[in-house]
Amino acid sequence: MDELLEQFLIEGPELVQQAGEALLALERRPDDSFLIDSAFRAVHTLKGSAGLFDYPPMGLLLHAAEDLLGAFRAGRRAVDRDAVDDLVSAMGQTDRWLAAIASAGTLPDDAGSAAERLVAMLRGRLDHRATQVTSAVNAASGDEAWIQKLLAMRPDDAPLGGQPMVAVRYVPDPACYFNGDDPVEIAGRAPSLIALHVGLRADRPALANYDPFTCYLVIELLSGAPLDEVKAAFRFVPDQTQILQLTMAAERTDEGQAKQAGPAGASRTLRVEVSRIDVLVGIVGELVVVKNCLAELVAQVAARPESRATAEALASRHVAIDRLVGMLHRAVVGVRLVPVTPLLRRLPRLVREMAVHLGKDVDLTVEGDEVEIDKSVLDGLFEPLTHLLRNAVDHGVEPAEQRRLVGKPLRASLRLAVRQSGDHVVIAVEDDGRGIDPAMIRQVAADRSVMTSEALGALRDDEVLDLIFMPGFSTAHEVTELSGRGVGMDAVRTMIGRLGGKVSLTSKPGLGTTVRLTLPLNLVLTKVLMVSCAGETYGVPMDMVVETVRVAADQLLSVRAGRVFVLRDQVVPLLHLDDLLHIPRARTDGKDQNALVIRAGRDLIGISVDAFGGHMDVLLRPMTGLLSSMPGVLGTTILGNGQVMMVLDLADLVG
Amino acid sequence: MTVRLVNDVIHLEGACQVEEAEALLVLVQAGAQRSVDLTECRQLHGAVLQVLLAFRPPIRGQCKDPFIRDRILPSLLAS
Repeated sequence: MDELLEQFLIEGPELVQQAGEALLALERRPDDSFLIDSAFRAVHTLKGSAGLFDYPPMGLLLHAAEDLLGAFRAGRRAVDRDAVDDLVSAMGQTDRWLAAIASAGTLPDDAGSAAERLVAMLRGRLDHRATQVTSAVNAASGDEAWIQKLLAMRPDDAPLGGQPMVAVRYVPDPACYFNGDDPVEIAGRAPSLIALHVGLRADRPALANYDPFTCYLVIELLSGAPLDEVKAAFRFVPDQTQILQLTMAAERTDEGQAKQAGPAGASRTLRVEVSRIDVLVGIVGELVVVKNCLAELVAQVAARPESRATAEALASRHVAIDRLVGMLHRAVVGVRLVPVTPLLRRLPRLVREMAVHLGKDVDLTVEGDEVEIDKSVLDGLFEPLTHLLRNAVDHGVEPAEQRRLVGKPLRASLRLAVRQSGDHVVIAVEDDGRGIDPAMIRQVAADRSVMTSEALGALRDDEVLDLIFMPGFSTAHEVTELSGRGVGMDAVRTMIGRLGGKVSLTSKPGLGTTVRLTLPLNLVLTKVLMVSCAGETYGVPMDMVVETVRVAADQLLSVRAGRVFVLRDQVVPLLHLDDLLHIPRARTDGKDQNALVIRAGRDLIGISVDAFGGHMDVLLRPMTGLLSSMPGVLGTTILGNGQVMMVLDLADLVG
Repeated sequence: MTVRLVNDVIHLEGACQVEEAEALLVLVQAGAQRSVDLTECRQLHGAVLQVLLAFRPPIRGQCKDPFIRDRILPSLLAS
């Protein structure tokens, strides 16, 4: 990829971030010029960068966003929620486009139409605005809405800053056409015209009674000329005009300042590609394995009486290496720890977009910026978190009307708190919505025959809530566009599970729901037992294996289609790993079998393999991309000889 | 003649004076789908402009007169 583009794809999302944060903060402090500046500079820089590449829709959108922010900045346009909402959408779109460019190298096909829609929205905010610029205007008296409208109409190249202006509202006499007056011509004589608006009186008759010779016009204009000159132009119609001198607060015209903007300056950091760090992590992982082998060597040497001195020296070196490798491992794994901040910062904007989309008013507070987590865990979190927040906004938060009826604040609050707890990171997503009613879950579970009514009746309420995570279980009465169909909480549990984490849920009906994600802080070494099957070597996590046994051929009994053996008075079914993995090969019936015994629920299950290898500590890499949904595989690891070994999830294979 | 109807398009041409307002009104009222072309319009009397503002026919053509183009048309095009 082009180096410039690469840089853009790194900086782009950061700038979107900066703009997004400033915009959200702006909503609470609409007068904070620092926030406006911050958003403006970010968008300005983005626009400049986007211009270097051939992404016209992005350029157009950013240009429109910049214009609107520029109007905020110059005081030509007051900051209001709707405008901020539109800007937030524009940033969201830009963010998605950046992601599309990063993954597909190009903008999606619908970029043009999406840009058009958003640009029209932003331009709309810029054009007709009944909103205020009151702080900037000191008009003599009266209703100022029309002055605001005119100020808003000023072209961008109009004189700015501190310059006096005169506003004229001219409501011609209804009979003026008979007098030979042309109000348009009179208005056109106004000197130094800056803006002109012609409208109709509100008290005009209906179209059916339209009289072409009665004047219903209302002409409003803004002039840059001195008051006396303007008055002179309207000297024949003084009774029909209202002429006001405006003094504008000085505006900041610091366009130049924007040019200095760029990604935040000299922090002492170095950008390193994740793959390079992964290489380091891999090497350290292998080093750990080799170090572990030393222990065996030390034991062998110590076993020989004649080499006791050597053994002692070797043992002390081994301890030192052990310590250093441990430190190295922690340090390298620590490099992969990244702050959760960038992820968290994306969320408020996202929630805002969802809320606007669903017509709800939701505030997200985010806590735990300082927590760090492994890069791959962080990368895998965005999707499930998005899903949880969507669920909360869509299904958790009640419509405003309903909230009002039960006496809740109309604006729902969502809280996302991240904290570190030992080796784990706990993320809680909490809403103050309607909560989940266990009775309803029971009802749905019964309707969909998720389980028998006896089993259902035996469940405690908190256990009932857990049913939400069952595949295909969706309790929303209507499927909304946002939450989509078929992606339920089971998907969240699967995604979090893949990251080595757990999901739990608590809810108080009427008060809200909390979903808690518990995730490993970093990738830890997993002890695996190596087994071979049909010429391949696989790893099996040691904590899954109850024991390894050799089952003599005559101990195997046939039960219906399957075979079992007896292990300490317990009947254990025997499955074959090659069957489980769907590898065809010649049957070895009638021979002794090597079997792993694993626990599946309360039962033991034997799984036959060709042979057992040694055990080793490995750094487990979760499957990514297309392979991430592959069942029965926990992840992969790279062996000392460079081979890739799959680590199996036997419980999943058996289940 | 400064108000002409050609294929459902009303052309306003030259200096449109107060008396043109009635002619325009008749044409606009007779066909709601008719659009108005201002390309050749040099002057627009308040009474004529008022018909356009009241009935809001679709406006076509980039007027050659800078005052009408820059100062008047925006009011007509704004919703």
